[in-house]
Amino acid sequence: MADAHVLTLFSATQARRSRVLYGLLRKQATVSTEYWGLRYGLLSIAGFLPQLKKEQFDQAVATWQQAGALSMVSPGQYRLTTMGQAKRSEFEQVHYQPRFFSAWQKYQVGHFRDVFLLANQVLSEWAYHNRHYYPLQIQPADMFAVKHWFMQAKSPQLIQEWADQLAAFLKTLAPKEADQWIATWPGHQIAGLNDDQVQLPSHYDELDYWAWQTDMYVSLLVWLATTKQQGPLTDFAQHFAQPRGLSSSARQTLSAVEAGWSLSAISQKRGLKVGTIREHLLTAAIWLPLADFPYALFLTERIRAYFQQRLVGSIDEWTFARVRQTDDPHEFFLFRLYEIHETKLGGDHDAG
Amino acid sequence: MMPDDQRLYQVLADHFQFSSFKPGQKEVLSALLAGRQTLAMLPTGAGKSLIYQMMGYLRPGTVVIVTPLLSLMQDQVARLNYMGESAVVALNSTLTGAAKQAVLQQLGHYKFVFISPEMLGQKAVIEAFKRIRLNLLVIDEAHTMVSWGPDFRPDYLSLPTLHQALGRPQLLMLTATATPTMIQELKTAFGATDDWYTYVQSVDRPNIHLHTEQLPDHKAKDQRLLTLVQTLRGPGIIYFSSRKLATTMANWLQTETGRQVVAYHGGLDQVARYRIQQQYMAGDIDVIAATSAFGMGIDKADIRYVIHYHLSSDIPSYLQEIGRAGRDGQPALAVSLYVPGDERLQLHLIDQGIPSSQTIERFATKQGERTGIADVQQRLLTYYLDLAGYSIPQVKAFFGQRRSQRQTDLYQLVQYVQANEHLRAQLMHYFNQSSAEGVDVNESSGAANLKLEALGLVAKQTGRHKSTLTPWSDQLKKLFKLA
Repeated sequence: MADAHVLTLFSATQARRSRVLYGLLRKQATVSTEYWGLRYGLLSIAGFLPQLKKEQFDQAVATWQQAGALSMVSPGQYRLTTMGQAKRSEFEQVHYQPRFFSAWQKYQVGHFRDVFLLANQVLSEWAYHNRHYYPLQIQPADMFAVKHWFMQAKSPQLIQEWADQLAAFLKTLAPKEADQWIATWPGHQIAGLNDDQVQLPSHYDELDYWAWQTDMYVSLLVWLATTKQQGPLTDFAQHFAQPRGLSSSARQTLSAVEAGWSLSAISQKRGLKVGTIREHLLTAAIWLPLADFPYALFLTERIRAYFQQRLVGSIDEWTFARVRQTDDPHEFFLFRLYEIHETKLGGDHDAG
Repeated sequence: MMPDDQRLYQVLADHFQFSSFKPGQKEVLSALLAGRQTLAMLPTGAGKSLIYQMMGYLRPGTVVIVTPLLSLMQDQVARLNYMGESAVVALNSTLTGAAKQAVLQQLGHYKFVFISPEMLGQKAVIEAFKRIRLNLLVIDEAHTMVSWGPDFRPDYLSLPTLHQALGRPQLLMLTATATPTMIQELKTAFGATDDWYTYVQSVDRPNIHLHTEQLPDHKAKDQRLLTLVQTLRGPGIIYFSSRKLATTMANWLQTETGRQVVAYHGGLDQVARYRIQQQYMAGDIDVIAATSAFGMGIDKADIRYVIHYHLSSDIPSYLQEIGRAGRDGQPALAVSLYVPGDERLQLHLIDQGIPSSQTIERFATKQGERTGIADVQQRLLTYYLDLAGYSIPQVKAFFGQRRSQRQTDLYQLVQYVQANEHLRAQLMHYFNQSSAEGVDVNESSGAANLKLEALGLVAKQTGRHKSTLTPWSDQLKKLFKLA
C-alpha cells in the first residue's frame, strides 16, 4: 500500500497497535483483532488488502516513525505526532475521503457490486430484447442467483421501476459524480468504463478508486434502507446485500442463543467447543448494531454493577485483571462483551 | 441415424450458424467420432474451440476442458453463454468453497466444464468426475505440458495420471505451437500404444507481415514505438514483460498520441478485465498494452498489428502472440523492437522460475528456511521431490537441463529479432516446416523498409480526444431503452 495511506489508520489521541491494523487489513482477524478494530473505529477496513505483506506494512510504519510522523507509545503501539497529523491531513486533501466509512462495515460491498452490475446488465439487455451477449463473469453461484432473481422479478413494469429507483438515487448525488458512477455500468452495447476512465482526479491511485466505488455502493444501500422506498431495487438489495463479519456458523450460534439454548447445549449439539461458541458470540456483538445482540442474556444487572464499580476511565485502559475472580474463561467472555457493549453505547470510537 | 458428415454440418449450422468448416476442424471431429485419441496442432485463430464445442452437441456427457489461464477460461465461458449455452461452468481457484461444492454436486448437468489443472488434481473433484458421464477430456494449450514457460504449472505434469484415474476417457489435445518432438512427447505421456490421430497444420500465417527492428537504446525504442502507434492503423496490441511498464507506457502513449491506449494484465479484477475486453471488442480502445495474460482467448478478428516491446520467452510463444493479429485474413503486421541486452529480462525470468542447485539442496535437506524460496519454485520442488519421488541429483540434473533448454529456446528467438532477413523461414524452421509461399515473402527489417502504405496499414485518423461523460439521465435512458 502507498505509504501515506498507512498514516490514515493512526490517531493522534488513541495509541494503536500496528499488529491489529495489519490483521484487519488482511482480514486475518481473531476476535481480539476485531475487538480492537471496533475500538479504533476501523472495522470498515477489514479485508481491505488481502494481499498485503507483513514486511511491507511494517516497513511503512517504520519509515513514518523514523520520519517523526508516528511516535511509539509502547512496543508495537503508535500515535500520530503533530507532524504526522499534518502529513495525514495533507494526504487527505488530495485523496478520496469516504463519506460513508462507518457504514462500509455493514455490507459485503464487493459481492453486492458484482451482482448489481450483472443484474443491471441483464435488465439492460432485456430492455432491448437481446439474448446474445457476454454476461459479466462473476462467481457462478452469484450468476445463478441473479438469473434466479430475474426469473422471479420479471414483470412488465420491472425495467421502468428499476430505472425510476436508480434515477431517484442518482439525483441525490452531485451530477458529475452520478455521471461518473453510471458510466462504469455495463449494459446493452455499453462496455462500461473502468475507474481510471471516468475522469476522477488523475492523481488518484488504486485505493482511491476502490474507496470511491465502495462509497457509491454503500451510499446506494444506505439510501435504500433509510428512504424505505418500495420497488424492485429495494427487494434486490434486501436479497443480495449480505451483512459483513459474521460466518454462517456464528449466525447459527446467535440464533440458538436467541432461541434460549445454553452455551453448553449448543456446544454439545453442534460438536463445537464452548470457547468457539463464545468467540461466535463476541464476533456477533462486535459486528452487529447494539440492538441486534441479546446483551441482557449475559450482562445481568448484577454483573453490570460489578463491572461498573471496577472499570472506570477510558475503555482502552481497562484490564481483565481488575475484574477477574476465578480461572473460569466465561469471566473473560463477560468482560469483553461488556467492553463491546460500552463501546457501542458510547457510539463507535471516532476514527480520527 | 444420419451419416456422420451430415450430422456434422447440421450441428455446425444449428449451433454456430456456419455452413463450412475451417481447415482441420472436420478431420479432427471425424477422428473423435471414430473414438480415436486425438492431437491437433492448429494455428491461432483456426477455430480450435469450435471442435470441442461441437463435440458437446454431437455426443451426450460432459466435455471437460483443462485450461491453464483463468482469463482464457472466463472468456470461453462467456463465449458459450453468448451462444445461448448456459450449461457451462469454470471450476477454478476464484470459486468460493460453497460455490465449488454447488458446482460439484451438479456436475453432470453441465455440458462443458472448464477446469484448471490444479483443481482437477483435487481428490474430491476427481471423485465427482468419476460419477458422471464424460464425453471428452480436452487439454487446451497442451504444449504447456512439455514446454517450460514462466507460467509453467507442475500440475500439468500430473495430467496423464489424472487421465488414468478418470478411467482413460477419450482425449483431445490442442495446441497451436508444438515441434514434432513435443508432439511425440505428448502422445507418449498419455499412452504411446494408443491409436492416435494427429493433425498438424502449418504454423505459417501468410497475411501477417513480419518485421524486425534493432534500436540502439531504450529511448530510441520508446520513440519508435510512439511513431508506430501514431502511424499504424489499429486495433493493435503491444506486449510488455511487466505489469508496471505496461501501465506506465499505456498512460504515456495515450497522452502523446491521443489514441485510447489501455493496460491489461493479470492484476486487474474480473470486472475491470471484462470492461477492457468489451471496449476493445467494440472498438472503443485502439491499443492494448498487455502482458502475456492478455489475449489467450481473445477472438477479435480485426487486430491489425502486434508489437513486441519486450521479447517473448521463445518462438512458440512469439507465434502465439503475433497470431492474434489478422484473424480476418486481411493484411496485418508483427513488429519486434529489439535493443541489445533485452534478453536479460527473459534470462532473469528463467532464473526466477527454475531452482538453482543450491535452492534444490536447501529445499530438500530442509536445513534452511523454505520461506526464502519463490512460490513457483516451491511448487516445482514439491512436485519433483515430495510427490514424484525423484532423487536430489536427478532433480538437479533435470533442472540444469531445463534451464539450458529454455536459454537455447530464448536465443533462437533472439536470433530472429536480430535478423534482417529470412524471418519467416526462421520461425517455420523451428517447427521443421517450410513456407508454402516460398521464402522471404511479406517480411522486412529496419524502419526504412517498412512500407505501411503498400500494406494498407496507415492510420486514416489521428488520435481522438477523450470523450466527455454522458449525463447520467441520458445514460440511464440508453441503458434501459427509455423514451
